[in-house]
Amino acid sequence: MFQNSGGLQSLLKDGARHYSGVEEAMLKNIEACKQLSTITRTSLGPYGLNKMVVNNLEKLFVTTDAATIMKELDVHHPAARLIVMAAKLQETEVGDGTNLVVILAGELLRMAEELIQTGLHPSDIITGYEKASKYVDSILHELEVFRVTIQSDKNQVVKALTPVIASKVYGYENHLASCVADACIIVTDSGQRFDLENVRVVKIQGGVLDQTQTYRGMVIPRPAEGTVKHVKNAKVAVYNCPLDPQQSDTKGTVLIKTATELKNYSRGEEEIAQKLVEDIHAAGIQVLVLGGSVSEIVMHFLELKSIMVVKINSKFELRRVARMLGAIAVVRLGAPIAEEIGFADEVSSEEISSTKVTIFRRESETSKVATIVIRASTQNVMDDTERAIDDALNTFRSLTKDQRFVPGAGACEAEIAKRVKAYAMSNPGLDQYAVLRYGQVFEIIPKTLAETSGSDPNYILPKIYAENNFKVGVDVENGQVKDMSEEVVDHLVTKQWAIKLASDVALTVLRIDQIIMAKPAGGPNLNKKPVMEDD
Amino acid sequence: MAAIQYVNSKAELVRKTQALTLNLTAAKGLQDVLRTNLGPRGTLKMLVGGAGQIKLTKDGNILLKEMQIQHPTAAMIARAATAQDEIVGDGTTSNVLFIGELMRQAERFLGEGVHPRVLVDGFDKARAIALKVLETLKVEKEVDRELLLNVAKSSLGTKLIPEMAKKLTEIVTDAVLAISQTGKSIDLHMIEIMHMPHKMDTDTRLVKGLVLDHGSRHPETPTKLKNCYVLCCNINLEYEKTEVNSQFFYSNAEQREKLQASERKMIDERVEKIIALKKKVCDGTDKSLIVINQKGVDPVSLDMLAKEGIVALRRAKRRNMERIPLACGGNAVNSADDLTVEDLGWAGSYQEITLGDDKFTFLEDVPNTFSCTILIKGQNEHTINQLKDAVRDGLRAVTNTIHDKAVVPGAGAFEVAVSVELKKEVKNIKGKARLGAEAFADAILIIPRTLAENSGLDSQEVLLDLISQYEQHGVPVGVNVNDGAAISPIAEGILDNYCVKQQFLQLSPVLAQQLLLVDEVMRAGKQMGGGNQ
Repeated sequence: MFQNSGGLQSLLKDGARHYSGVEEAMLKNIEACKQLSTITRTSLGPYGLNKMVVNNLEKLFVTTDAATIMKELDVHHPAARLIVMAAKLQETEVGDGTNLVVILAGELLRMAEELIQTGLHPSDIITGYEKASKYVDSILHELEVFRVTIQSDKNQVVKALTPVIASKVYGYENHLASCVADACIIVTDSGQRFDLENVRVVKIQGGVLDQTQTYRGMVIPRPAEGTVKHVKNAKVAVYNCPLDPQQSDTKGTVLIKTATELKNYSRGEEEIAQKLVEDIHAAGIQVLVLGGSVSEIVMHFLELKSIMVVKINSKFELRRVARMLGAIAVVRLGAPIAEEIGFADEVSSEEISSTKVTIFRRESETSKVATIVIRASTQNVMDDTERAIDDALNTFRSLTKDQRFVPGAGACEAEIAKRVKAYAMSNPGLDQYAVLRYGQVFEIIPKTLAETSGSDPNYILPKIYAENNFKVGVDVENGQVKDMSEEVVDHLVTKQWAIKLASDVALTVLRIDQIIMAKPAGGPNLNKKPVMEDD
Repeated sequence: MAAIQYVNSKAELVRKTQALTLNLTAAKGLQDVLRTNLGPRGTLKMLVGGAGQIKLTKDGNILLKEMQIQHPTAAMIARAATAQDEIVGDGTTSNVLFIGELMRQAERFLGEGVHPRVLVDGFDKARAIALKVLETLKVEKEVDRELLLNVAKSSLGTKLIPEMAKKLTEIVTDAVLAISQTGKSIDLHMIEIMHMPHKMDTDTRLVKGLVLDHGSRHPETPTKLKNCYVLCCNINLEYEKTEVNSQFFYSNAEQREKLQASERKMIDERVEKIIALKKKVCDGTDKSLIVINQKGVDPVSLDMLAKEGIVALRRAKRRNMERIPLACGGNAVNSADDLTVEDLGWAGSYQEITLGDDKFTFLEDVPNTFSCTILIKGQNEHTINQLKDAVRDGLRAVTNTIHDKAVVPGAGAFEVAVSVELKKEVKNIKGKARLGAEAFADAILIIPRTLAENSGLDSQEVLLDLISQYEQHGVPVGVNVNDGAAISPIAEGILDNYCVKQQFLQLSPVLAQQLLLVDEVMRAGKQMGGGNQ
């Protein structure tokens, strides 16, 4: 303790680490972030390559989805974690474009590193980047090429959603986009509001992706309880309490003195159950949806009255079913009142390739719940498709708030790069270097698209710039440049957020000049052999 | 072998010069860490906790708290600085810098063979003079919004990036102004700081009303209402266990049903009283009722209330029970009996927002603003934490100004003035104590010097310029962190708290004195085998 080695290290607890200055802290941080973005970079676009990730629970993921890769990688480096957080935020705020965030952030830092090495002070880079990011924010809306004017127009919605799906499950984008568009249009209400909650995705193994389809209603991956498997035009009651003669909160004890009393007791129980079922039957109920358990005796009487029973374990799923059926969940025993009863066109238990499901259909306009059933041969493909559909749904959600789209296929980024570079020239200060580099960063997108589709990344940019048209992007199918704005458009808000978040995280990393790390907290260390305990 | 080792064979000991060097290195080491923090152009530090949690900060206090300092001297300095934060809420970094610099200056004299006691006396004399200078420099101003904005800006500017600092400045000032009631002392607890991991940090705002971090638990209740009465209560609306051990005995199902019904009856009665009140005040109008209960509300009661269109929030926090009457008016009631309209508060708008699994309830357009909420938004946890710490300090700075009714010129102007005035006064000090006073005068210049250094300026040039400007004009001059020019902080609106500077002058020299007077450091070794020692 008393050695006078000086410096901060000697003041801290054992095991703590401390890095400071440009060399030690900043460049190391940048290095880590760069590495992270190299990982996801090749996953960009329709021809992006899959990554195989085995997470800490030994679960296997094969995906091009940056959000998933980031999540499962379990990143430890603090600066790289900042990027992961930015990607996560993009995922929660707009639901798509995570890869863009990671790539841009990594690239921004790579450029900054070069500038630092040429001798520019980080604070100049920060001012330059800040300026440039404000500039991009201000010009982005000028790049609009497409606008979804009517949200219930399937053609327009499909056009908007196809590129999102294409970047994840290329080859099936038309069919899937149309399924998602159907679901979105069903769910959107008259006030043009869209609640993501109301689109459900169910994965059923077997079949091929083309068999994926959208149902108006709900699909519950669980068969009906009793023998009644199919009811048409059904009145439905939803119970959110056990269908079981209830226990009192205060402790109860049955006090029986004679054998007759015992007999009568069971009979009494039965009578109550029977009365309950009869009341329900009298209300015209044909299907019961239950959130809790149902006792054998009640089930018996329900069978006698041929009432179909479906159990749903999740509280939220139950609420959703109730909403879809127009029912109100009942929390006490007894027959439901008129307002609490819902209605379904058809409730049936079916078997889809050995998975038993119960389908609630309701064609009425007032029912705003849709379910997309994904069919595919392996769990991995289904998971990946689900993520693609999820991204598409999120894009639709953002679309309900802002209808503008910019050209995709790298065209938008190439244009931004061009404009920022021109803007850089109008800055007289040292920050000009940084603004210039900020522009260059965007070139990585068309370059990567070209690279993953097998053409030479270096040829692409001059070709795009030579066309002098901001709609021209990379045609991945034959490695040429072409006006892609008819087929590939990206959502403006998604782009805007991605650029904002990437700039934000790059700036944060550049502002840090000192890192102090506490000793990693104890906890089971799985790599170490257990030590024998002794006193 | 030193004497102590006879007493305890494992004890460690350092003495005399060695002990002093130990303290000196620690003070200087800590100063080195914190010096880049000071001022609006200071850099960020990244702290990584044991479990990998990330914290980004520019705030000296947070840094010292989270750094896990083990060195005994450094820990002592850190504690003094945190004490500063606890008393006045700002000035921790300055404290550490000043202590470090006092030690550095003292080191020079100690090397020349001056006894520490002499220096310590000098510090005492110098401090007394510095405090007098503080009194003359203090600017007594009428406390208005503009003044408070300036103070908040100076405090927040050192903790956040300029864009955010600007935004928060207005928020904290308005928050304090909203809750301050004439004739009453300001209770900062009445400003709730609520955070939502949502959107960007620039969406942070002041809610003149309340934000509760939970929501209604019934799916059928509306998420948006206008014109609401607010019933703030502490009534149990769920089954309550009896104090004594009790149980039911029954011998048939019918009896049981009866027992159950009576068990519910008590709760149902209470719920019905609330419903009756709602009917009385709301029926026939467009008004609605919100019940905020500190105790639980069970699903059945929720259902009954929801059927009547009453929004019910259960398990509200204790402190909100205090805040709701302050903001909405009305009383917090503890019994469902004798509910009257007078007990009800009022909120012009009610809204529930769901973020993932978390729910937030907004009560806005309230009649009073004696309690309000600063709603911090941010992309991620570390941004939110950074904002939270800054808001706390900003609020303290504003409150301090209201208490002090005076401010002190910032931007290093105060320190320059103290140094120059001290050097004049030093001539009147007789004897060796003068050395200490001189060291003090030199040491305090660390603040403007570091300010200039962190801004990438030539610190010597800036410092000399400031001193000569002050000597010429006799008015406080500070450093402009953008171009290094001398400015008048009062005209520019860079103002610091009077009590912060006062505390700063009191604390730092005392600690430096203590450290200088140490001539032996001992540590008792562990007697029994500690294993890995």
